[in-house]
Amino acid sequence: MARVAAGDREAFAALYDDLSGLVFTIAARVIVDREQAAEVTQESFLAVWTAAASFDPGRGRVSGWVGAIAHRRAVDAVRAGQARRDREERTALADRPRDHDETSEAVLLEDERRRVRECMDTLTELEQRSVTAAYDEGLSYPEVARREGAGLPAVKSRMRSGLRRLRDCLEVTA
Amino acid sequence: MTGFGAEDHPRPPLDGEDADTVAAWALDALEDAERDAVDERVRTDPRWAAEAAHWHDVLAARMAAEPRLVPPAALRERLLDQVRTHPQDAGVHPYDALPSRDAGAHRHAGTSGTAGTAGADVVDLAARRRRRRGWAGAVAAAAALAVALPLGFDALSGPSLQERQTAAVQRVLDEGGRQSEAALADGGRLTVALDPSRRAVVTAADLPALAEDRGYQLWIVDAEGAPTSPGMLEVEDGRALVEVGPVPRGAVLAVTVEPAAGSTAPTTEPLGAVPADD
Repeated sequence: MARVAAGDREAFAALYDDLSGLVFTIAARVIVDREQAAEVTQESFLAVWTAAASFDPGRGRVSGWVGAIAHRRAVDAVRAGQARRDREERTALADRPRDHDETSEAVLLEDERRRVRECMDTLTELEQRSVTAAYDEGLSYPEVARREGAGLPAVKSRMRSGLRRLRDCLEVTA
Repeated sequence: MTGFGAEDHPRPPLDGEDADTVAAWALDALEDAERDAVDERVRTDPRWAAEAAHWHDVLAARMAAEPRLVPPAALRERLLDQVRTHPQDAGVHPYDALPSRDAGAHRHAGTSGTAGTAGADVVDLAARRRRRRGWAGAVAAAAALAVALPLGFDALSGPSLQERQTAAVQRVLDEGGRQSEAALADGGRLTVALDPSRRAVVTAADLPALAEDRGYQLWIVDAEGAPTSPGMLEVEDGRALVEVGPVPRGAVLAVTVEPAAGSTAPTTEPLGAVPADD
């Protein structure tokens, strides 16, 4: 990242090769539409290039930072309106919505994927629904609260306890 | 990248409602006013920033383990071109790189952007952001510039898809890669060009149009026969171009017809398969 911050295009290309799949996967998870997900991927990497010097390796991982930039942009795209309608249409067109059981099937042999899946399963159902409604669908917590018929503080608290469970599981089994 | 050791992640320092708020913020689940407040807080309070980064790492680890989709191959070169002239800014906080809502709203308002109007939008957006957030300006201007550039697939393409296919394969061959090809059962052709770093340019041609709810899905089948999918082929006039990898040694690349949203394992017989290696 230091080389990217110094304007090194080769280092930027290497960063893109490492993380473009993650960024596009995050954007497509939220937006569904691949074309808009590609736009978000492009904007996200330009933002990373611009602010590369600010990245602090002592605070967290490059993937965490870049993923956060991409996710925020994807959520904003969905909330901006058109992307949300597109998302609903696309999801309605699909045979059935993708869920976690489905996505884990093809990759069962890969320990890492299985491990994360198992860790998602350590969340209570309410926690899982709150985390994925927010992260995967781009809903705000008040929207999640309305959908669940739950109070605002309860939903926020579920989000945090869900993330804690995910983190604790990932750490313990690492 | 997804290894996730406790030593990297000391327990976060916040408690109670603040901690709940940062978690919801990291999920991008806050609404406007509350999000703005936390955006400001993580820029000014290292404890909040540390907790924010912690959750971002957890979420990235989760998504890194999801089946990986591959962005359009043309995007890589487009970005490498753009950063030749794109400014960098050393004097910002890392969370200044998180975008504002303006970006998305502008992008989806349908501005296709002649040079003149795009320029005007840049000034306007940047000014609004400075007023609202008191940012240093350079980042806001750069972000606005990014959304004002033509970004759609049409703009990405420039040369025809066929030309881009040829150029992408040639680049692999120039780098000392190798190419193999197979006819598909429905009359299409699938070509795989594997570069020395084991990334592959996959091209398809003469793919018959499918029903609206079906699509062509690409698979990397490893030497043990386990399939993983880099995603659906984006087909344009019967052609597709995608870059995937790394491709494991001994793998074959195969195409099946699947529901448009994709399947997690092939549900139909492959139309054809190309070994990545000889």
